[in-house]
Amino acid sequence: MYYFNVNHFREWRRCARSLLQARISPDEIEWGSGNQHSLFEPMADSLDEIDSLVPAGRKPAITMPKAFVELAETAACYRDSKKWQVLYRLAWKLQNHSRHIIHDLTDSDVIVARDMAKSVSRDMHKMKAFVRFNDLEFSCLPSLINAESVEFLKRNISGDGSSGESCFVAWFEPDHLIVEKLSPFFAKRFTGMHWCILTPDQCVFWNQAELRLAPGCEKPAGLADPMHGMWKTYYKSIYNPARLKEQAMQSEMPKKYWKNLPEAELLPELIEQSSARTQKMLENERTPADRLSRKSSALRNAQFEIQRTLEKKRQEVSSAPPKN
Amino acid sequence: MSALIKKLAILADAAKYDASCASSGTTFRDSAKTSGIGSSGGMGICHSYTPDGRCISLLKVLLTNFCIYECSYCVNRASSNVPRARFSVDEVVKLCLDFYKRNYIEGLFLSSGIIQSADYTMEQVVAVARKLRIEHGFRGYIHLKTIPEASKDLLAQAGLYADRLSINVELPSEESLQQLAPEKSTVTIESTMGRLKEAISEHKAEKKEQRKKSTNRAKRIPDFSPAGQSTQMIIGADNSNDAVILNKSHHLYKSYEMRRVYYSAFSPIPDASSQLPLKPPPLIREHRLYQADWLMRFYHFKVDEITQTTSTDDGMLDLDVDPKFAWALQHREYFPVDVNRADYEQILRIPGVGVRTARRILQQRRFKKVRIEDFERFKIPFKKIQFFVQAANYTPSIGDVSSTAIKQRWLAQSQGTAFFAAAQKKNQLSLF
Repeated sequence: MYYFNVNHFREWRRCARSLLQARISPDEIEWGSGNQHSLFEPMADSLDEIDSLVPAGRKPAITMPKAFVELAETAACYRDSKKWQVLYRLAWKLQNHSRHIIHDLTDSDVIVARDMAKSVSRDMHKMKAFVRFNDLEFSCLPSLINAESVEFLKRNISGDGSSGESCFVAWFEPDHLIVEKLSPFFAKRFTGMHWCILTPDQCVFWNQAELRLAPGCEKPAGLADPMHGMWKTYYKSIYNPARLKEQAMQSEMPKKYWKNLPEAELLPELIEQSSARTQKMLENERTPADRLSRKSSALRNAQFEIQRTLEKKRQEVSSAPPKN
Repeated sequence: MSALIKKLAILADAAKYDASCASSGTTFRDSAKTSGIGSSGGMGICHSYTPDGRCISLLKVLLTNFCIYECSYCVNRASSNVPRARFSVDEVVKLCLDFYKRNYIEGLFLSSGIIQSADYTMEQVVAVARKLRIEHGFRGYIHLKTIPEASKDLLAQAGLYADRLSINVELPSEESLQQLAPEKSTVTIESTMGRLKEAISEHKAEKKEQRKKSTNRAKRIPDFSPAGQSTQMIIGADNSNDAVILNKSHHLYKSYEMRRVYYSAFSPIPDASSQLPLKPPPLIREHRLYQADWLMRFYHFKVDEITQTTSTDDGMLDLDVDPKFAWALQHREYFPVDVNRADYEQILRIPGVGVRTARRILQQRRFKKVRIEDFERFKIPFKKIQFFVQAANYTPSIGDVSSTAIKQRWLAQSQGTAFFAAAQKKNQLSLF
């Protein structure tokens, strides 16, 4: 039995290549992530032993279909470490049985790998959507992130960070290990800003020139933004209470995301008021289409009245005997 | 700040009855190697959802809700009692950038009430987009509502900055327009749509031509509304039936290459015109129209095939079942479809089978015969397909089960499911 402790797709691929070359079957390997240790012995922490099984010149070329590599790269972000075993079994079948298996939607490993990739993709999509940046001054950063990261962020600002330059800070809790995979997306979108996204698994920093990854952290206290009021006003105003469909909202924006969305605190109030607001709109008296013309003719009459009064006063003044 | 918050409240409220929210299908762009912000392309992103189940993808606001037009269905019509406000060009630009930087939105959807003249108003709308693109290097999504009466020159400018342009057709017939939107006319609306269509396809053709010759010069040809044009129809404000509405949509898709026709059931508003019907239409009607629209665009249904399913008395779609199911119930001779032999088009006709499932069925057939229990994996209830498919281990015993009986059974068993309950609730709402 071989044991591999793998934390990243790159590491898994390196291991899988050697294992496939040495024709080590999936049953002989146990995969894990993090610092957990297997009950099985002996463990093979290094690949040297495996690599030495096949002489350098006799190693078979390992090529995988593109569809597999893409699927594996996404599935590799799945939180549970069972993914490595599934991916290796799949790679084994592709290498030793048929390259077409990757398209067989009834293969149990294909099903599991695709389900994992789907779950990861959805999580990535939601992270793109629900990350909320808070505009903070550089001087606030040391209380949120470590000194090294602050230094990294400061690298590309005009001043020394003491005169109001801002950095956009977000806290997010993804289901899967997707921060690294998504960081280029954020860098290409928010290129002209300094920002960081903090998560329990991994943090990412952008200083308008480079990305930096760092270990995860705890949720920082005191994330706030001067635009929260504007955003909540917008959210409240764009909602049409006559169309309440709570379930549709929740299926797209499940409760687990609410705690990190500033607008979500409005939800109970908006939902509760919906039917009364709609009822009121339905009961309101309806405006005749000619309201404007009636209103304007009333205005005109009022103006005539004022003019008449003025004229009268003027005449009274002019006809009055001069004062001496 | 507080004055701006008040304006935002008024001008977002004024914009919420426009159903369009898409931010997808435009060119792939990002801000890498620029000092700006913004990216777009591919799937749109919905940044939040309001309790009506609608997404917030764009900052959807009006530049102003003052309006000289009197369209009865509109919350901003001249005679409406709503509070009025007006943003300056700079205010919208700043708001859009501030929201974007915090990742609240994908971009801007800007529309406006008509003030002074069509050209004056359109100029302001274009000025916002120009400022975002040119002065701020903004590369996010921009959707501009286009005023059909505005000059050709302004339209041409709008297309250079916007990802999508839209002109609302508002109502399906000229008579309805005359009655409910006296300042608008089908002729003006459609001739502007025609002009947009030409400009969009000309730019595309030119770009393609240049790309063939050399890659560098193709980049210099500007995009013109790369995500095309869309439109919106108000449902239930006039007495047009679903058949009339779907025929109109078909015409719009065919003649002007619309990317989308949005359907917006007119909604109770704070100050409704006495010209409008008392009751808003059930939301399920809007939903059925969207389903029918999908059938035309992605399922290769001809418009006549769908309108034939409408009731002969009033030309309305069946509210109880989706239009594809309704079609299948009317065309029992077409079924069962053998999922192991039929082609893609035929498989797409099976009730409950969507575009993705149809493709999966074809893919699976290359390896293994499709069995009836596979539909569980495709997440399609057996009850829905039971009389319509034939699989490797399954042939339906159609015998003399009538379409009416199938429909009754389906309705009986879907009672209590979330969707059906919601649909019923919507129907009840209309009984106020």
